[in-house]
Amino acid sequence: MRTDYEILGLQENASQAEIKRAYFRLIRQYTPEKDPERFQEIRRAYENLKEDGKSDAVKVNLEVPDDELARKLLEQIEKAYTKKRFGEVLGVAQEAVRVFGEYSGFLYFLGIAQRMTGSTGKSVRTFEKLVQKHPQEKKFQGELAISYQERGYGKKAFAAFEKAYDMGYRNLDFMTLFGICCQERKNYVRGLQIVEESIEAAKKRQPRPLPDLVNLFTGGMTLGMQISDESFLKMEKAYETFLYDTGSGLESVEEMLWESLNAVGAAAVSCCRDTRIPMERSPKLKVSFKTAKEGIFGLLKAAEEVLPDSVEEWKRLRWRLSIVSIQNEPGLSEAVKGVFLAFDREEEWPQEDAQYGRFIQLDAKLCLIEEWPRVQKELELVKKLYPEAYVSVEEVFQQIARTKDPDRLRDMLLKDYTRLEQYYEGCYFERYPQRRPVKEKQTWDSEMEGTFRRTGKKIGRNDPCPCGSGKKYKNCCGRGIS
Amino acid sequence: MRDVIIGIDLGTTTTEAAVYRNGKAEMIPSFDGSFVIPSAVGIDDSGNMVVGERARAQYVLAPERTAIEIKRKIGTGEKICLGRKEYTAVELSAKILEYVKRYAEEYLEMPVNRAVISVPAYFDDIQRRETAEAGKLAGLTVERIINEPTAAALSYGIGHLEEESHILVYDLGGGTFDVTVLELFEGVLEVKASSGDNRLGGKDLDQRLIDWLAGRFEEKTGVSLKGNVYAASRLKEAAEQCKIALSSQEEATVRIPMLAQDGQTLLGLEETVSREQFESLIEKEIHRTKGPVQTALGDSGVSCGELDRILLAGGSTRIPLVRREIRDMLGKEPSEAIHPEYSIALGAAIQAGIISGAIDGEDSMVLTDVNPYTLGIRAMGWESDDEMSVIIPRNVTIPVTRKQTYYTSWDGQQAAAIEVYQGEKRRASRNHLIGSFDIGDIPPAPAGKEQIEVSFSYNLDGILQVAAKVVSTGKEASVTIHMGQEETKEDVSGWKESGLAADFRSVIRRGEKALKKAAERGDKELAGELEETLYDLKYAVLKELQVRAEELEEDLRDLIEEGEQ
Repeated sequence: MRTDYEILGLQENASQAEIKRAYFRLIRQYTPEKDPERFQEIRRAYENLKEDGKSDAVKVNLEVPDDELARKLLEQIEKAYTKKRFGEVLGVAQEAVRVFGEYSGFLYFLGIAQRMTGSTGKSVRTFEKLVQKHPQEKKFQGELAISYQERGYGKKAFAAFEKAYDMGYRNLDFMTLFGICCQERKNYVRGLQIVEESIEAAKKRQPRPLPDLVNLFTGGMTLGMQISDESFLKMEKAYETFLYDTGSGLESVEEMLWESLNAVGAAAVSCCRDTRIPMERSPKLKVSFKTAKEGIFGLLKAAEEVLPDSVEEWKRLRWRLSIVSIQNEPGLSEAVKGVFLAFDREEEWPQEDAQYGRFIQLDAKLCLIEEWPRVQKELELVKKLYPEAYVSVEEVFQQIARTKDPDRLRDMLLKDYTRLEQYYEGCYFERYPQRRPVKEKQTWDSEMEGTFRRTGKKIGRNDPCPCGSGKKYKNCCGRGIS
Repeated sequence: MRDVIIGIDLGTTTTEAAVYRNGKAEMIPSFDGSFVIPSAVGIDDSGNMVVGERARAQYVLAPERTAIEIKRKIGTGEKICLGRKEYTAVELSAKILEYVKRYAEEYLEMPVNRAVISVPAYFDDIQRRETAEAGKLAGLTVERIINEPTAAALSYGIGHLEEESHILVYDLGGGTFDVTVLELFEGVLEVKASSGDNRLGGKDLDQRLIDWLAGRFEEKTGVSLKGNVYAASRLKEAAEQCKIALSSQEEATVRIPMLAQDGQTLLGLEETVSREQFESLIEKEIHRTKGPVQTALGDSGVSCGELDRILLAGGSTRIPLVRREIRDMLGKEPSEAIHPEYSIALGAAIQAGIISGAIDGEDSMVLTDVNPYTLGIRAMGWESDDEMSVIIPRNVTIPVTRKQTYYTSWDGQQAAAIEVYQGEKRRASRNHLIGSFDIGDIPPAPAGKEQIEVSFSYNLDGILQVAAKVVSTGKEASVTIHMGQEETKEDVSGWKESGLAADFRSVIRRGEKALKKAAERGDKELAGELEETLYDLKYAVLKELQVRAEELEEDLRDLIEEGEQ
């Protein structure tokens, strides 16, 4: 097997310029048309030898003992590492440390592999050892910070991050985690600084690391909303510009982008979702609802424009965020908000809970009828601000608007509602206690109260009605029974 | 004299031809002496086929029997109506090529039987194939399909053999946008990356202006121009002229007398458009070119600062806003070294000269090209079993062979389905399935023990060879994919013999009924979708791709339901 240098007809110490010249000379001779086999061979050799200068890896002195086997092992480790086979890295590195002792070359990969395979505690100890031995090495300090972070030692991690940062370490993964660490430590301003710096650095890389950038913007937005309107808006504008600039290139990270906007969007526009559905309490955001809303919908618009192939997906997201956003819209009554929540198409009620879905829809409808027609003005507002969301629920409004006799409609719905209300908790009766039907003896639920047994005497159809009217039962209270 | 090969730039709006002779490339004039002919085909009053200027001239009067922008329909399978007859885009493109062949023969005074035809770099393989087919129909042997930006770069490179430079070609034509980054070194023109947008061109800019004009007209007169074919064709003509005028002047007036009727009154349109207004209309479209430029630069590993030259091709690059945008984007003035409208045809002629041997030895150039789309297979990943595992990334120099090793995913696995996809999405199923096969006889072993080596070979003609090998036994299976040819429909009538047939028989039958009904109703869109889904489903059943078939079954059910509403 010929080496890459031999294929290009070069000495082993050839410079980049010589490599390039040799490649171009050779392919003039062996063109892709005339000799595709040879061309591929030359091309492969050229690609192997050419330095692309793309990686931002900090060169560190990874020392290994001056030994043939040791170098071989390191080579094997590095190969497995680039292929992301961390199990193999771990095994070989452990073996190497056992045989040769604690050389930084082996320890470094050992620490990384430990972290990647879940042994974060061990990884912390490995990097602590390395930092102690080589206190000047910023890469080790940075990796130690990452290990602390992954292990959950927030305070230690933060200090280590700051230290590595001061030493000048700027690896992209490192910076991303630093940002996350700041957020967890509630040091939002510092976090945003870090994220902004990382974004600038990432933008300069060729090719642009799109997944990292999407992650960074997600982080930046989340931090921004904890600081102020200005910070949020600045980050949002930067994100938007990034989307427009990258354009169709975003195809490869489309799902990430969706997730990002979904997460950021939901966090930004929902400080207090509906109280009936228990939700983890989110911290009070510093960003105002208005700014958050405009920002998010601006981003969505950008996404829709640059990735028109997936317009349906974006529409769905817009719809979802509209629903959440409506819950916070000032000037809307609870009744209107409730309708949008209840008819949330996306919330597919699991089969056993279909009943519940129906219940809360009834609940919302009834509340709306009570407020009708006062709420019509509010609906106009929703129609203007959230046209998609409005359209999806329009039918409900129309049904109420069309009906000539709202009382009858209400009574009809109330019948169903009262039955379901025994199992679920709604807010209709809470808000409008006067609507609660007076409980009559006849309402009996055999599931809950056992078999119904008559207490008094049976009233026949032709008996005088017990209400005292003097009419026959079948013509009075018993009308329609049987 | 050796057999001549001509170069043809078959564009969306115009077509040009050139030839290499006497040591240089020159444009071939048409019968009326112009180098540029409109890419239009029509049927005149007496039922004869007309091509070029005459066809374009009648477009305003008889849009229903004139076809323009045929290139946009290439590869879509759509039919184009001329009068009462239907034509395919291939047939109509062939008419244009035939016309070119005729005038070239007259000018060169010799038979012309061979040609190099250019296509946008971002054309997929179906589109390339159809272009070549059109050439064949026109009686031309298509020696090579060359990418338009590459041709433009070639027309520049041939005069600058000694130069060592990085070149970016920005090609905004009538219907497509292409950007290509190349390196010129030692007489080799190496394409480093290509990107683009198949649905962005001068025609879209016209459309913005048309919409705006129609809106103004409606505002002023209250008459809508929607659905008025004659008004549309006249507006189109006027908008195009207005656009061209605005490249050199600050203001242009559009005047169309008797554009529409309101009862008995004839209404005309008169509107003055300033360059500024026009620019605000098209700003968004021009901005859309930014993404592909970024992608191409990123993939090529060349930074803005390293670019030595920016070449412009395509008529739309005459618009001042486009030039400003490029300057802002790349921080450099575009070069005037080549003619934006002729350079592609000239480049194609140079490629023709290289092939015919008219250019050789020291003067010759070598071209290397890249594959425009990412290729890979569906694999089980960390997150899902629907991950696109990339084997040949986009913008890799071709021909190329790449291998990747995969492992069995569960204990005792004895077969693996190799599904080949093309596209940039991370989830395989959202990309384009271009072929599949199974590899069996894997010795039973614990998960992850057995290895399957999958290799992809992509050659210069765009043919992909996929092979899979069980490493431990050496057993192999392979498939050859003529990129895009799966569209020319493999016979799927044998699906009933498949083991999966029983599960899908009833849904297929329902689908066929729905298709018949939709066709009777004249609902072309639904019928088309049904037909396509049915085909895909039968194909999946035939190949026993259970998961894919189930997905398609869902789709089909939705469509059937849609039909019943």
